Amino acid sequence: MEKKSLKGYLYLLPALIIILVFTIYPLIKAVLMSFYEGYSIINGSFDAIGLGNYKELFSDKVFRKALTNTSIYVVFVVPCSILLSLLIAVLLNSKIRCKGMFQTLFFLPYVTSVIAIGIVWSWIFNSNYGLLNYVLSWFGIEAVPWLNSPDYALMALIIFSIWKSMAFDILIFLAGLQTISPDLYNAARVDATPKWRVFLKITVPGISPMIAYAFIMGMINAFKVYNEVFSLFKSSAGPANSAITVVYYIYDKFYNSADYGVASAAAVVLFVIILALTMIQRAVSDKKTA
Amino acid sequence: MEIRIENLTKAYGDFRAVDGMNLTICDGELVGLLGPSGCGKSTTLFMLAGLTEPTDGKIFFGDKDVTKIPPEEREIGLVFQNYALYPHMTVEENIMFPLINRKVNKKEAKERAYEMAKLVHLEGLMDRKPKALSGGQQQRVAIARALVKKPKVLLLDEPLSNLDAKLRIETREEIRRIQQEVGITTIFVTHDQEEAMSISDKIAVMDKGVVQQYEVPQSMYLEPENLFVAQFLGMPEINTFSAVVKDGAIYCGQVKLREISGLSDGTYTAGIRPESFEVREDGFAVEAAHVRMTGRDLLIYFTLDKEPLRVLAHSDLQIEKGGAFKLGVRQNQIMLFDADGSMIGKY
Amino acid sequence: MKRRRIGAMLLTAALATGMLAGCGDNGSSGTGADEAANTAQPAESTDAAGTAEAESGDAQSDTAIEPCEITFWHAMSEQQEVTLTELTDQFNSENEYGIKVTLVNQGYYNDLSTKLTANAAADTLPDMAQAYNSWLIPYLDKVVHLDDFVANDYDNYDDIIESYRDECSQFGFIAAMPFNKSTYVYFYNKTLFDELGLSAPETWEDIKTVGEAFKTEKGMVSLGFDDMAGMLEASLRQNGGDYVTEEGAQFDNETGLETVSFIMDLYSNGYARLVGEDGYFSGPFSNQMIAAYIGSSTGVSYIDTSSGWELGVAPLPGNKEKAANQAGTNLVMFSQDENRQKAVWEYMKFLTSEEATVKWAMETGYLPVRTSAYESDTYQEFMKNDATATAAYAQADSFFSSPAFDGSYDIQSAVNAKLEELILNDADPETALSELVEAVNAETK
Repeated sequence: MEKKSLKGYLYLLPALIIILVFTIYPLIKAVLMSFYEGYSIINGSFDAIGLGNYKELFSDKVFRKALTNTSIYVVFVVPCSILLSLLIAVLLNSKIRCKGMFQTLFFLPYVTSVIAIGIVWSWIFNSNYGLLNYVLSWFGIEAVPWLNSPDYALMALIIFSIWKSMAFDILIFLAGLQTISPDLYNAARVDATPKWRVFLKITVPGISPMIAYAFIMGMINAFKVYNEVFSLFKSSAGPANSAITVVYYIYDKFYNSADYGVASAAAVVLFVIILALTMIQRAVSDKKTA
Repeated sequence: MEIRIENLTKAYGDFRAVDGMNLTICDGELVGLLGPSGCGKSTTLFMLAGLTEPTDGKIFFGDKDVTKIPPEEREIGLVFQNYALYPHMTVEENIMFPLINRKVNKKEAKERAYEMAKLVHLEGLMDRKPKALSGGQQQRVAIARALVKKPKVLLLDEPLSNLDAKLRIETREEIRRIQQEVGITTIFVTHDQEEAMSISDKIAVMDKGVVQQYEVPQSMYLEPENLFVAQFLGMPEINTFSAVVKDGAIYCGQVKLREISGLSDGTYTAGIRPESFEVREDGFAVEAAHVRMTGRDLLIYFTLDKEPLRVLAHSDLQIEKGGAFKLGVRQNQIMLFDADGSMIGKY
Repeated sequence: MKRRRIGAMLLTAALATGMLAGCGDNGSSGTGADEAANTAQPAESTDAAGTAEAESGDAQSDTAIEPCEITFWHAMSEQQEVTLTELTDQFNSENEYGIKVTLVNQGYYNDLSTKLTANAAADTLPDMAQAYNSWLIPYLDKVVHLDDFVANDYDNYDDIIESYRDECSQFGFIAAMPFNKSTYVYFYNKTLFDELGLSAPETWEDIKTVGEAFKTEKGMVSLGFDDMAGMLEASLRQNGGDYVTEEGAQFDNETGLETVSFIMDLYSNGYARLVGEDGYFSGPFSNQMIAAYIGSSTGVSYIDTSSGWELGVAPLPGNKEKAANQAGTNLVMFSQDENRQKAVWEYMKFLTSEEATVKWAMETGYLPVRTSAYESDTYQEFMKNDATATAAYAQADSFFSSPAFDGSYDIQSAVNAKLEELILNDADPETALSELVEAVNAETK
């Protein structure tokens, strides 16, 4: 028995080493760095250990804006993309022609580089030549300065992100829909069930594990939004930083301002927020299934 | 509600699952659609329900042609093989569901649901979810749900196949009881002939999309119209062998079984049910090659001039492997079938 | 079975080694020779480890330099990289000491700066690199002082453009030699200007005249700035004022208010616009959506006149004074080894020589670093056909560099964001001034 478990550990060792070195160690170091005041990356020295970085962080207007923006972003992007994805997955699952073509179309955003998509969307959002404003003009709506005005920048980011995150959600919902027995739908038909009630009472409960999964993953990813901002606003965080997010803030503080202590503190704050929300989410969904 | 099926056909390309079926089911009858897998019985049921569209033919409920009417408007109740209970609703909600959809108010729907539950003996389980119920209980919920909207026709797809043996017997009696109490025209699909035989008013035996015989069970058992029906009904299965008629007698090989008249000489397919043999002092001598005991009965395997046959006898007989005994065939129990399988007569 | 196990173990070992090598390899995305240079260095730098500061190079021009290989980390691409390579090849073949320079392209500026920082921490800096002053602040003690080299072994240091000399001595010693310098110039649509009978503005008043003319007669915006913070600094200097020091904002006064008023009026009157979603003004300018803009001279290659209009380039307008932002990196020496320091100095001398800087400027669109280069026949001939170069030269006396100190990036960032915000909200000048001062001071406390 003992020999066997030793072999097991040896097999695990390479992966364990990689995880320890590239995930656990940086995590611990980041937490430590967040408490080092006056950290110098050149010689690893620091002036003191304390909450100075956190004080600076929370008194920084830009960080508070980043937190607010990110929260608004999560609140809109996650539920909207799940809802839309659900509807589209149900549609894709029904008897329509050219199903394969639609499935490919809807999955494209997932396999395309976010930078490329961001550039194209920045053209779609262009206030002068953009496709979106063109379509809006058919309804008599004036050209909206999507990427030029702080009032609309966050909205543009949210629209873009909902579109992008739908692809993965559609995929897992489609897979989930396959697991619902077709006899249930037949029974519902015999029972003269209107389509919306079929959706609410049979379809949605049937794939509720997938929905829960999409929600947690979506929430975690949404809190870490960076690439979308970067690619939509041409390497900035929107007009007057109106679309700045927490990760963007971290990146900026770390690489541009070389303010490693504050960047680490921000990273720790983000980690705590995501961890807390995930735990709450798990508790709620566990209670539901119990 | 009388059900009339006229020339009903369902074709998938060249393959005909149901081929020109004609059948009339009287009001209040419990009819079994019996047959092997792939004979078209479930297809027929789903066409009756309206879930499958027929390629040709018509279906009448009473005087009304319902062929083109969708399932939700046909006033039918359907019980699926795997029950198809809504997994995330309680029993109560499951049964109320068809009523809620038809805009019955909640109070009345609840009352009627409880009424149904009483009918199928489900009281006390109303708050449970389907996964907390046994197979038999789930089935009763499915039946209650099908009946709660007071349909004119009840359809059941292999209702007993997911139950264990003892439960099957209990449940089929329940189905019969409920059907009689409500008085609703009921059609159920099964591949189990014993099941069909025990509760149906009439059985329709199907093979390859065609109805072979439509008859009251006992009559069908005693007077099968063809070889298929004779072989399908009866457990243990009927003995079949090639019999020669010559010199006014039926022979099994060299053994003369019976003297008959009025039948031309030739080779025929003969069928003798295992219980049609009897132990007789003046019968032909046989030796038990193999004996299987099933509590009450003995199934003895023997050969009659190289023809392997079986006889069903009472276990009191105490014959063992290798034992010798004498057999005769009861009167009018030798069935003869001609070349295309139709019954010629019983001799 | 056994063979498969052995094979699997070998693969795993190879994989592990590969990965470990990967994470140890901090700096070089370049040639193998670079790794040799990297590994050769630490041995030498530990000798000098006792001293906290890097020693000044001990330059004696007549002492023989032993042949060696030195690395130069840069962030030049396309044509710039081509010309740099040609110059370096020329140096490698012509120098009498057998010095070989290896070029290592580190990507973009931010890649280079990150790599330098990481290598400074690991004490594996290259012999020489391009760098902005602001990058050097965290590891200033690893920069070799060039004062003695310049004093003992340079032909004519005063020939270097004055503002470049000032920039390179910002830290109190000569930290670098200028290399790929550019300046902000005024790009304008000469065709449209001629149509309205206008010429390039030279004063702030001219700017307003041009602005009004284009607004009323063409409904067109006539000014934009690719670099908003740079524009603020230049405008303050043009108005005779100061911008920022380590102590904080220096423009919380009359001059500052006057300057900010001028700037805010340009936007509120509709003469100027923010770059917004366009990223850079070269786009809208090429589409003739804007009549003129102020941007880096190197940006001229992005301007597209193929739709049939003439490009005009002029020096920046001024008010009480002239002031033109200068940009671009300088050459910095990191070698700790005496011999290699001499070798690097030879290369630096070469790159800043008249011949080299003329070739460099003509081929890349950067500016010559010496006055004599500007005045050479070759370059004068070149300037006749190159409006950008002409404009740049015209304002060479008013070049200024922005002082670099700890936090200067944060100030730049904050000012950029604040200006954008103020203009989008159409703030009045008093509010604008106080908020700008506040934004700057928040970063310098």
